[in-house]
Amino acid sequence: MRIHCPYCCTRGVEEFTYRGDATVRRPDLDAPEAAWVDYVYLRDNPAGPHAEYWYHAAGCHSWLVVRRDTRTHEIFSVQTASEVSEA
Amino acid sequence: MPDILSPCAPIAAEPCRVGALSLAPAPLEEMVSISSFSNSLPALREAVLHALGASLPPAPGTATRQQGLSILWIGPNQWLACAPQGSGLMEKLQVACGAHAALTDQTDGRVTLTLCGPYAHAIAAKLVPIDLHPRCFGLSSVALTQAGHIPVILMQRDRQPAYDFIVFRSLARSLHHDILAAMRGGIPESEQN
Repeated sequence: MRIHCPYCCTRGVEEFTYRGDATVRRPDLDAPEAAWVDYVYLRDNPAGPHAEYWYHAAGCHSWLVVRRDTRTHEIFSVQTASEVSEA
Repeated sequence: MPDILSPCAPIAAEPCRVGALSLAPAPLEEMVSISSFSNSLPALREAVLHALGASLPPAPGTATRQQGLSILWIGPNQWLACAPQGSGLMEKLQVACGAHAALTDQTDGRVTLTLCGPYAHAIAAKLVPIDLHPRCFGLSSVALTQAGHIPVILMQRDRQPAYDFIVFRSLARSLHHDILAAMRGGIPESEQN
């Protein structure tokens, strides 16, 4: 798999580190315990389009949100995590 | 009273030659990393231009170079300024840009190894996973990548071609060994035309 870093152009996956599911959101502080258990421990394992954090560890150290198909490794979009959080 | 360590070169200064290829540590330079504070970029660009007479490179993956001074892009809103010993780089930057960026002296932390000679790109390509063809990586191009498993900042210094591998000092010997092994392995026949 090759990921198109917005800063460094296309690089091999060996330069990146997978940093988890980019769809989970921290619950409110007073949310029920079940919501926190879900947030901390439970992850879906979707077969198909998914958003993930990838860290360009051996490159520019950017955190990226990569939307890709987990079955085919087809990548639909790559954005910096800061861009996504500001949107 | 602790002993004060005196700086010594991590590798011998004499170039290692294999055929027409040469590998040598570049003369030690003053290096300062510049990390822009948020919303300070326009002011920082102006301050650097005023202090050094050279501008921050406009795009990722490039460097500006003039009269011994180089400013390399080393990440989003981060640059590495390099100047010959004795040029007082840190002082100049502190006065001009201290309010706009975090400045960190990297002089003792990094070593530059220069690989040059015909087909140097073919030797470098054995180690780095990026495309070094001139249409992708030309003069003053910069890439943050790895050589083998060693993180490097790679810059094309010269069209000869010559490449600068800027590496953490503690990894300089390993990188030197790897590049030398790549040189001794010869130029791949597929690259010779």
